[in-house]
Amino acid sequence: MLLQQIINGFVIGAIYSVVGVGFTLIFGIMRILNFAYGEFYMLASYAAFVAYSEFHLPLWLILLLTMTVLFAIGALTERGLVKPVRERTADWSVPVIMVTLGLQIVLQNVVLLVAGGTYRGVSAYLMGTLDLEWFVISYERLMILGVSAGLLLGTWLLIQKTKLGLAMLAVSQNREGAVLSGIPLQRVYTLSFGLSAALVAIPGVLLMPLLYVYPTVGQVPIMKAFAVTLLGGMGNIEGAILGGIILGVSETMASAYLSSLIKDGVAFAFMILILLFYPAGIGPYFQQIRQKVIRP
Amino acid sequence: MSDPLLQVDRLDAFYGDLQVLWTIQLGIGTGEIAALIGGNGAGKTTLLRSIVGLHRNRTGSIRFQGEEISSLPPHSLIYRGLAEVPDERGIFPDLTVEKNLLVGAFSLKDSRARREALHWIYQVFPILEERRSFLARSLSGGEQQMLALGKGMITRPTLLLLDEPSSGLSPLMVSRLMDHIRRIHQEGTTIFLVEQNVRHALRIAHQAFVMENGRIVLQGPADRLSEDPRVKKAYLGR
Amino acid sequence: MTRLDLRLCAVSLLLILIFPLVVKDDYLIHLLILTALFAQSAAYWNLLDGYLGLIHFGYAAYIGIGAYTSALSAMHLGLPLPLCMLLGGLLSGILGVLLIIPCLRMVTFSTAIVTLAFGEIARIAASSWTTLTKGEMGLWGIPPLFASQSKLLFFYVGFGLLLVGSVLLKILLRSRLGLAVVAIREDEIAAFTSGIEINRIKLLISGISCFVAGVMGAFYAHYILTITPGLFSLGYTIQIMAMSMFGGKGTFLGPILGAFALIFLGEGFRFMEDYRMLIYGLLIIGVVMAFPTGLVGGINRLKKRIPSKR
Repeated sequence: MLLQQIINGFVIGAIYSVVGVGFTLIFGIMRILNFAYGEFYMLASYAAFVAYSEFHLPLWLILLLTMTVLFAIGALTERGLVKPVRERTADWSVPVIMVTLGLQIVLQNVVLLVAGGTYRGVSAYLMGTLDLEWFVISYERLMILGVSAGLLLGTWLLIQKTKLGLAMLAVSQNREGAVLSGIPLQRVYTLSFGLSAALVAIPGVLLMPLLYVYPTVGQVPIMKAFAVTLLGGMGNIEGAILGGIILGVSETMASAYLSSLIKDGVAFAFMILILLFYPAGIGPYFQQIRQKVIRP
Repeated sequence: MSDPLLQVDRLDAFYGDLQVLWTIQLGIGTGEIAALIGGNGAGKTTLLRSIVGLHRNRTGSIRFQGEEISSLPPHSLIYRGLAEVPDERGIFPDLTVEKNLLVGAFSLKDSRARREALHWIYQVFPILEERRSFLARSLSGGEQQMLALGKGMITRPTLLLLDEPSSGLSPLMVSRLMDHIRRIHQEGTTIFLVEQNVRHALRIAHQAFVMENGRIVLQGPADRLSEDPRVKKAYLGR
Repeated sequence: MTRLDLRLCAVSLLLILIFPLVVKDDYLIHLLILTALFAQSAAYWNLLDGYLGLIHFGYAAYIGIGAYTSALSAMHLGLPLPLCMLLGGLLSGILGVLLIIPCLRMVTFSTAIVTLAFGEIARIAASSWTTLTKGEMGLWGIPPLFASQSKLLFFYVGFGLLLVGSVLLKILLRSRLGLAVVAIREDEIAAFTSGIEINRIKLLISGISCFVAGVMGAFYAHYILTITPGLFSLGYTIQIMAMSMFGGKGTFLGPILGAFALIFLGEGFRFMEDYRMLIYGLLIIGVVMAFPTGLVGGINRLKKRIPSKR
């Protein structure tokens, strides 16, 4: 029974991790909170709904298409909305946050006007369950776990092993040092925004059967993104991955053993507890451990 | 005399409406070490930041290798051979020493060029190779400075600007630092050194400028300046 | 304060005094009362974040705590209403201080999460503790501050609170405490070495800021007469933040202007019905692009262009 809950926790935790990584990425690189982040999720959900129920596209194609489209939307948002604000004032963090707030309102209401407020959804992408001796897991959940894990791995590899990833890390740790080394800030910002949107698109597609599709569905993921980001350490990718899992598992446990009503509260209380012991989030702590391993 | 490598003409700089640099005029020739000295708040860092374009509220002309660079974005300068080690070192605390250096080599053409450059820096600073997997934040002050230097020179820039590299270093480390600067110079890089440690700066430099309150008040060959009574009184404590 | 500023103050005071006597639109008056409430909340949130630099994502919870405390004391303890409101403020203030104590040794963003978590926990608590708070159904039947049906008195008290709060805020900011607050925001280490007791000030300002939030919440409770746990939600905190940022974070008039601007921009387009929120969003984007430093920053820039009369 316990194992079952942990597995379930991991599934939702993997989703939380993806959502958190996309959000913390932008915070680390641009030092802003992207309030339109949830709306990127919402757009992806709508796209998935249309692609699945109208055009009956296979899931892998839906994932690919929505990621691409949302990458473009993210990049365009940075270029069209964020960049003009960035260039008009030296201390642009707060105005950019406000602009994303405005964008959130616009996106939500455009969709509301165009598609109406009714809840839409499909039952599931995959049917059937895997019935093992120790636990049961639906194929749908297994697929969600697999895709999310793959995405997280891909992102991790991008950050750690590619030149772009190195540039992103550099910008997030010392903007001037990065600029002086020849890293083009503008391009990094645009690409990161696009990547962030593409990342949150995946949960948008995968969770569409579970959370349904309606204009304000983006409110849920952004709350989780916030929590995971702060838990893992602002701007800390690995911390976000860990944080998402921890949040997912603790929520599932709380829901199973206490009450599903207060599960959100318990998750938050747990987070406070962790922060009391690890004030900078768990990400830096994890980094410390890794350093101790390299150099005992 | 050939065209100066770096020529700054009539540079004024502002913070909002407040003017902080006044008609700065200076030229640095290829192959030399030039020093800029002055007290706290004289405007030395602002001058360097204005040259590389990190501080953009300025007027005047800045020519590097004959080309006007004042309207270029700061990230493009290193591709033209102009690098800076800023006063806060410009290193990345949560990246390893090796990754720090690789970022420094970002502007090089391909990964082979970057690997070669890395190898060369490890020869110049063997300690960095020893610490290659350490996070930059775990290095000592002197090691961090070495890393900053390595990152700044890894592309073998034509001109390297150094903003107070000796700050926070013990006297022993400062003379080591000066040795490193001489080594960089020997490898063919022109150096523009901003320093509070006047004695060392004048000893190592060919040409020197003295700044006070946002203006250059004195300039000339470094050995002559170090004998100048005004300089001696104000900065050398004699 | 310049002559012009004094004149503007006098004019605004006059306007506030005669407005409800002249304009009979009940809805408009109601809107203004809410605006005054939001403006004060935004101003004191701004004290904490814009001036001191202490990010607080759970601010709305203190409004809620003040509201429920006051309402419940009135309903169950039968205390006179001003005392209830004071209690609401006090409880909020004390809880505000208590929450910040563990945050003192944390990094800035950790404070953000702890305050966020607190807000959420408070909301969930209000929602689940049905025996006390009647949960999601809401607490109704709250004794009103004034028995009469007319909104006049509420208007005057609401704006009176705003006025008193603003004056006190201005005095605080002008005092040595105010200087210390800004010093901490600018450079904590430098402030510390100047002998400023950072922790004490953070706790003090938190207490003050949350106290005011509590009083505002209490006023809200005895005006609207029904309150729900939604009062604690992050959405309200974000709205207050937005008002502050929109008007100019870290400025004195910014939050007040921002509150008026955002609420009336939202309402002004009510006639467009379905398109209202959309236009609201587009307006926010437009205004931020035009005035990136907030309304106050934009006004200052415009002021510079006007040649001064000697």
